[in-house]
Amino acid sequence: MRRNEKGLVAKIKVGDNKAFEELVQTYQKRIYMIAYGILKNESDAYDATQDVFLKVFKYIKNFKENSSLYTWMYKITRNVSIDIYRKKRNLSSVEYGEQYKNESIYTDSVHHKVASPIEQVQKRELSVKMAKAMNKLSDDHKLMLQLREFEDMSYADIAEILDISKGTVMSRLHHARMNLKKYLKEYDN
Amino acid sequence: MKKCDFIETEKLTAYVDGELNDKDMQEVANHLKECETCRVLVEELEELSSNTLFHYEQIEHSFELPNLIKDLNEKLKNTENITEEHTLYDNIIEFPKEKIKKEETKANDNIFGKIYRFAPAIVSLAAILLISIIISNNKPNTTTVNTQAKAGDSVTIDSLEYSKFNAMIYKTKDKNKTVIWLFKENNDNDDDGPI
Repeated sequence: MRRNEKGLVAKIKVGDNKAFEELVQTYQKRIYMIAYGILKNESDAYDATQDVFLKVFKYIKNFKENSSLYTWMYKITRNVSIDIYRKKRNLSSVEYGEQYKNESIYTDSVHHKVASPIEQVQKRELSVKMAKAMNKLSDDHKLMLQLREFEDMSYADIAEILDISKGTVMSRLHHARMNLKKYLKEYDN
Repeated sequence: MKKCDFIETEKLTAYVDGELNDKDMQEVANHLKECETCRVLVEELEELSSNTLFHYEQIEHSFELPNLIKDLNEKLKNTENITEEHTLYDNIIEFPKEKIKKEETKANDNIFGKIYRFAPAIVSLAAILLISIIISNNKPNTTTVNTQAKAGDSVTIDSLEYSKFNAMIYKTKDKNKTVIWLFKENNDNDDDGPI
């Protein structure tokens, strides 16, 4: 567990509300994205995110700190999301990434400040291309890429979270990348 | 481009992620110096990796959850209220036990309480004493107990005659069960029946 995480956890354990707010600020989007990946619905993902933090708040005293805080929170997120999904499985689902087709994601101010007009166009194209290619991936492959690339998790951590072997992580990740490469090529053609 | 048979492509993925052991990392690095196919694939994998991160960062920047902390605080308040309710509820559930305990404690504090506590034992002793007195005052007219009849092979019937009543004792052989019938002494000899 990272040092700053350890401090944060210790403070929350003794009832420091500011530390809990810091934890929420740090992880809210990541938790939401994991939940959204499973539920494919904004409102449900939001509910799941809230439930996850409520559970974290309630059960952090039981967190043994053997694994990283995020690994522990990921497991909670997965369980909470699956519970919500089971309850609402009959409701229609939103396509993965549909919300991100919204123009706002391509006009992100952070990128505008640093990117030249050409770079902006390139980034915009890449965003669209990536969103479409990612959308074609299976949920397993999307999750694998999210955990590895975005969460920067090691194979061992992913294996622990998903209860699979490190070899399976390597193989699944490789196939996810190969499929992504294929879909990006299809888009280019 | 020609396919490379020398190295598994999955191993290249692990190489890009730095997830191979030192020996394998070195082996792949050496191979990449000689194999253009694998070199190109590694470059593609690295680009994919960076584009995937870019994709997720775009998503991360595309939305905000401005009300989450406020909503969480609301829920936490409600949860605290619920917890209090649960505490109350739990108290209600446990109340009878506590009440009994308190009453027991109170009852044990005085002499009546002590009597109340030992009441079942006292009643049992009194009953045994009473039965003993009755039996001693109603000694059988005949001291011997005879098997008077047999009801088939499975039951034996004994009888006892007392001054105030008679007794019939049925014993089953198989299950060793005993049934005792007590009969009030009947002067008319017509209304026999169990008491």
